[in-house]
Order: sequence, then C-alpha cells, then structure tokens
Amino acid sequence: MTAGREEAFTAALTAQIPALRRYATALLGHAAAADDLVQDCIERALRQADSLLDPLRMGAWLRSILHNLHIDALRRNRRQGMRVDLAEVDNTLAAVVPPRDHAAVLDMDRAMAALSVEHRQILLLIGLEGLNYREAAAELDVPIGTVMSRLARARERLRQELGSVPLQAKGGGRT
Amino acid sequence: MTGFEPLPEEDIHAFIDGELAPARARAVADRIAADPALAAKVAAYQTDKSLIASHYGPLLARPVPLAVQRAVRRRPRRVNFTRLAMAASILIAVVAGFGYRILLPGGDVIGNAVAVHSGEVTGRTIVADAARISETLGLTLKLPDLSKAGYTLSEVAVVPGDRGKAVKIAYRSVAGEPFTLYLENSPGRERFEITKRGDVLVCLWQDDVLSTVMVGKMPAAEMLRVASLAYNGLYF
Repeated sequence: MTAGREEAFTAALTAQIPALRRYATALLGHAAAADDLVQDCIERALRQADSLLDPLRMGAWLRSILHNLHIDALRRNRRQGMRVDLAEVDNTLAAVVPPRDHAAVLDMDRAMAALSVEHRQILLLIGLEGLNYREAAAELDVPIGTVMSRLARARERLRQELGSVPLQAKGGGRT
Repeated sequence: MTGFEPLPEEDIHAFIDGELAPARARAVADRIAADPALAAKVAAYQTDKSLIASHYGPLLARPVPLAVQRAVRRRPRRVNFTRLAMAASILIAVVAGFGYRILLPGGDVIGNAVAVHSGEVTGRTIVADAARISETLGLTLKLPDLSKAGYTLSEVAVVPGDRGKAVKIAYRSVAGEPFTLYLENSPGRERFEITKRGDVLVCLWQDDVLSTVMVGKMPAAEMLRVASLAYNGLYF
C-alpha cells in the first residue's frame, strides 16, 4: 500500500470508529467488552487492509471483521465455560445510554441479551445501521431469503422478550 | 381470527422495512387496514424497530477513548512480502537477462550508497545504537541485527546525504565481504528495486519516509534475504 493510500485508509478507518463502537456495544451489550473488541478489530483491519476491495464498503467490512472476532471469542469462552453476568450488562449499558427512560433501557438491554448473536446482528444491521435487505445479505454473505426469515424470527423473539410489558404506540416508552 | 389467509411473517417485516414492491405493499397495507389484530402486531414490530434505533442511536455521540484512537495510529509497518518478492524476482530476471544498468532509479541515494560502500565517501563514526541512528535521521529506528544471515556489525557512521545527514551501517559476512546499509531520511513513494552497479548488487527499499539502500557483492537471492532482514530490523 502506498503512503497516500495508507493515509486515506487510516483516515477512513478513524471516521468509522464511532459507528463501529456503537454497533459493538449494541451487539455485546457491554461497553468495555465492546471497546476491547473494537481494538482487536482495528488491529486486524490494519493487518488485512489489502483485503478491503471497495473502500466505500469499509463499514460493512469492519463489522464483518468484528463479528468474526466476536464469534471466535464466544467459542473460546464457551469452551472455558464463561457466563455473562446480566446485572453487569444492565449496569454497563445503562451507564452509557442517556437516562431517557431507564425502565425501557433496561428492558431493551435485557431483551437483546436474551437473543442469539445472529438475531441481535440482523436486528442491528436493519434497525440501527439502516441497511436494506440486499446490503444485509451481502454483508452476511447469505441469500436475501435468509435475511428475511432470520429477521422475522429475530423480531418475533425480541417481541416475546419485550412483550410481557404492554407497549405504547408511540416512542416505545412504557410505564 | 379474521378468516384471512395468514400473511407470511417475512412479508410483514418487508412491509415495515419498505422492501416490498409497490403493488405488494398496497395489498399488504389493505390487509393491515382490514385486520385489527394484524395492525396491532405490525405496530408492535414497528415500535420495536424504532426502539432499537432510539435506544442505541445515541451511542454514536460517545467520545472515543484514547486507547481506541491509538489503536488506529499504532499501525504496524507492514510490508507485503509476496508483492515485493514478486517485484524483486521480476527485476532480478531482467537484470540477469540483460546485465545492464537499465533499472537504475533516478534518485542519488543509490549513488551515495555505492560511494559510501566503496569507501569513496567517508563519515564520522558514531556509537552503534538505535538512539543515535534515530536522532541523526529524525526517525524512530532500530539497529538491525543481521547475525541470522551471517553478517556482523562493523561500523555505524554519519555520512553526507542529499537532504542532510545520512547513516551508514556497515556489516561483514563470515567471509569478510562488506555489506552496507545506507539510510537517508527521504520521503518518497514505496519502491523496491534490485540493480547491479559494477560488481556490487544494490537494493533500494523506499517507503514513505526512509530510503534504505543496501549494497554488497552477493547473488540476488541472498540480497533479497538480507534486505528483508535489514529492512524489518529497522522497524521491528
């Protein structure tokens, strides 16, 4: 990579960090663990800079790296029998999210934490990152049909988790 | 229940996400309008979707911790060795085939390095440590250890360069053959070239800030090996 391209790559990477941290925090439900993962992701991205074929797709490329690293870590942790402490998840995220509606925040965190990584991922790609189905299919390297069925199942699961509390039509706030 | 054929779940979500073709979207909208239970379900899903955005959206505004910012700047000086080796083998083939000085790079760094190697240009010997080399060139560098390739350090000297001071790091092979590493703080485009100058082989390894020129009497394959060791030894 030439110096000019290297500089452009670094600048583009830096610009992506806030969005990447947001995605990681939402995916993991844990701000500190998310930042560790983001750092690992940046390191791998720098090492594999040549594998980014389309600079316009840097966000998707970074999320894919991050996701792979996360899955690797989960497999390692599963072997080591690690357990996620739900109370810690709540505290960590509640601490970084503005205290708009604390009950709603905790409900959302708890509901998301109850889902599989795959389901959280598809919910975030569509609902937070604003990807369309075609983009999500490309990023996940699956057919669009899979995106649709996975999204339907994920939303159903989330609804079940949130559903014990009555929903208000607007804003999702609850009492 | 309403007596309608159940709508596929995927269609409900595709409707929410604006992914349905217009005709299909209208049909689904009609179904929703006619079916209060379905309408409640769609509203709940829509609310959940907007809740995800409003819940996690503000995380974007958090200041990035210093450690994460640093991770980007901690860029390792990685070199694509496959690409460089390929370039080198092509150059070696050309040089071997024609045996001429047809690939001489434009800059004078090669001339300087060859003059320093031959002893035509001499300098002032300095303490052989990384700090002195770094200070002289204004870059953070290490003193390459080439013992793995069978070369021992014989001298480090400050020599005149095109853009101020340059550094000569001299080594000797087991057979006593001199090998010179010539370093000059000279910005340029990434370049890797191996050429022949008289009876010595010259390898120029240019990165964005440093010209590294290696001079010695050796076969091209040997130069490639020592050059990799030397260049990486400067940074890692």
